[in-house]
Amino acid sequence: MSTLAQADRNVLHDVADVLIPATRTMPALRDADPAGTWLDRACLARADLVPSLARALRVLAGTADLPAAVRRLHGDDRATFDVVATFVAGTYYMIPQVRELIGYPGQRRMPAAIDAAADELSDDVFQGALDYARTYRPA
Amino acid sequence: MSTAKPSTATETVDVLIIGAGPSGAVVANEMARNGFSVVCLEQGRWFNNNEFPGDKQEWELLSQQKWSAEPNIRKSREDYPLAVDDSDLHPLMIGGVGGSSLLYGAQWMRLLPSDFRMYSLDGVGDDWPLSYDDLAPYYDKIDRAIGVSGVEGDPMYPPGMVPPLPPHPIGKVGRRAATGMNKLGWHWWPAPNAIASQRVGELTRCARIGTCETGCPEGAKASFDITHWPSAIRHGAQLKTRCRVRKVTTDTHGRAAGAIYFDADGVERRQRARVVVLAANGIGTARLLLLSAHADASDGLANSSGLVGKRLMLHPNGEVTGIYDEPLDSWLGPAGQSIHSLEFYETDTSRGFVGGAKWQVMPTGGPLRALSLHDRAGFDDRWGPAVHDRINETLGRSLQWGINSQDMPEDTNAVTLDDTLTDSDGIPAPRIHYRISENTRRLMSFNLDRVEEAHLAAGAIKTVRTDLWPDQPGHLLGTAKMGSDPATSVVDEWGLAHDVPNLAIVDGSTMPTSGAVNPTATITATALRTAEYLVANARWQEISQ
Repeated sequence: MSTLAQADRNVLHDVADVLIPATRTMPALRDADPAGTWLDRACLARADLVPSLARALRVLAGTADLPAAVRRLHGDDRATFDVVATFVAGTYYMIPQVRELIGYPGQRRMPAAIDAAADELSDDVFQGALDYARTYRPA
Repeated sequence: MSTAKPSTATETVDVLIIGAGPSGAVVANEMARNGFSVVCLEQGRWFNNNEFPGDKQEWELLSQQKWSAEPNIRKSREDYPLAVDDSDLHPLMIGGVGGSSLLYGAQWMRLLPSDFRMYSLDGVGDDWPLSYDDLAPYYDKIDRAIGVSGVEGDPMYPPGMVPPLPPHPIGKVGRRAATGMNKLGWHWWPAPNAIASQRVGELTRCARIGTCETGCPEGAKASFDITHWPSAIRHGAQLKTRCRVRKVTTDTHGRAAGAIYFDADGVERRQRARVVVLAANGIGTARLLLLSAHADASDGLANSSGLVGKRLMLHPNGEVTGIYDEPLDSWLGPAGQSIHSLEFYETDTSRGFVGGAKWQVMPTGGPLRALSLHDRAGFDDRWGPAVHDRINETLGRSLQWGINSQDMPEDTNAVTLDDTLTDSDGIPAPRIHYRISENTRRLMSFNLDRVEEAHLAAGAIKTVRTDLWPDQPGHLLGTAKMGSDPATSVVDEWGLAHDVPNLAIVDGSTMPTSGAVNPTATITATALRTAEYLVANARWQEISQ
């Protein structure tokens, strides 16, 4: 099982509003991922946890005060809370718009300038390593 | 009578290698290029760089389970499970061509000269039957074969260690950490990595994706599926994947005769060989020796000393992440290590323990890792509106000082066979008995205290300390000790079993003491030394007929 039913997605968005609320500069998860594309990718990446997530969301769906229920889950059942939080944060911070807003380029190819290491070996920081007085222990 | 089928009707190869990880790859290449017929049986499969998750948007989620380095989490058919309920650590490994070098950090460190003489110098542990000088030529050869990047002149090593490739930049994380070390007058050096800083051989140039420990998507990290297996195969070595050995067989004289294994279809087969080489890591090799007990070796093959499986050493790791008030590009690789320190490596008994630790600076990765630094915070400091503040102040602004701790060889830390747990072929799984000693706990506490001082000297505004990483590292050492005396060791200085003259062991299990550095350089150097010995002495090598 690697997908969530629509009702579960709605609850997850409500939980996301509690855990990672929208601000003046940061969007809510439901607005940043309206088609659920990134949530689907998170569910594929952690397909092993999707059944546990669905169970947790269905329990939360039945609560009258969701923010209080999420807070209680954090205190009383951290393992289940962590499953829910993994999907909320894992999805949110995968979204390109969010990454741009937080200044995270992702793990991508950024080869070093060819002279970067040589420059580092020519400055006063490296001089500190060269000035180190002790040596290896002969044996 | 066994019903195992021979792999071919009459084939007896010169060398059977069990395990296609770093040491198996080195031996296969060396033996094949010298004209020996070689078969390697590997329980896992080939991996393609494109499979690795590092350059995918889901990298942090995928690294939690599908690409976890812990076999019990990954739950792949090609791995075997580990019974770990009697262990403080959960050992890491992966079955596959290249073995655990697929997922290692490629922090390429040599043991120090003193590591080979621990008993003589400090009165604890053991001396090795060889010295740093004996192994140095093999370190040099392996360094050149895999393309180590680094800077010559680390004062904590004897002269002559010359990395063949130029260093990687230590980056903002390394420079910030180094500034603190300079203030304290503590040792640091731009760290050597088995990661190519420029194109060499089969390796591409590092693109600093920063996800080395979930496999290098770029093909720049020296995993041994890239550096050695293509050459070994070109020279005629046969590599049989998804073939899991259940027993090393012996002839009537007690010499190794080959192995019985399950092929990819689960069919039991037999491979005959004149020499058998175990390269299955410090847990897998002990497991196989215990599984290979026979009437004249009821406690396990090559186990007249009673030491097979004992003295397991795992290098417990801890870390302190520092959060700083400036952008550090904390997601940039290699990871890998930026700088290392051996300031507190040597024994100083005034500290209340023996042994020491190697430190290394690593980048910290993406937003989920940044948030995890606040896991111990209360709900209102971690979630809700606060989550945006935590990301802003942490993501890209942290660096990690990790410590790799020496642990002493102890008979009670051991690998045995589990009574009930099995792998996907029904072979008993290893049971890990491992408790961190009081000496090691003191060692870790002392070093982590110093690491916090190093962060503060570098200007950290906050530190987050992890006293023990239960799922780090994958250093699996000591369970088939090397030594001169058959009564107190399993193999001789060439890696040949005292009890079984044509059985060699070339993985980390032979290390008499663990040192505190990442062990793959030492494992592969000793494997090459064994291979060259086998080549040079083949004429006199006792074999199974």
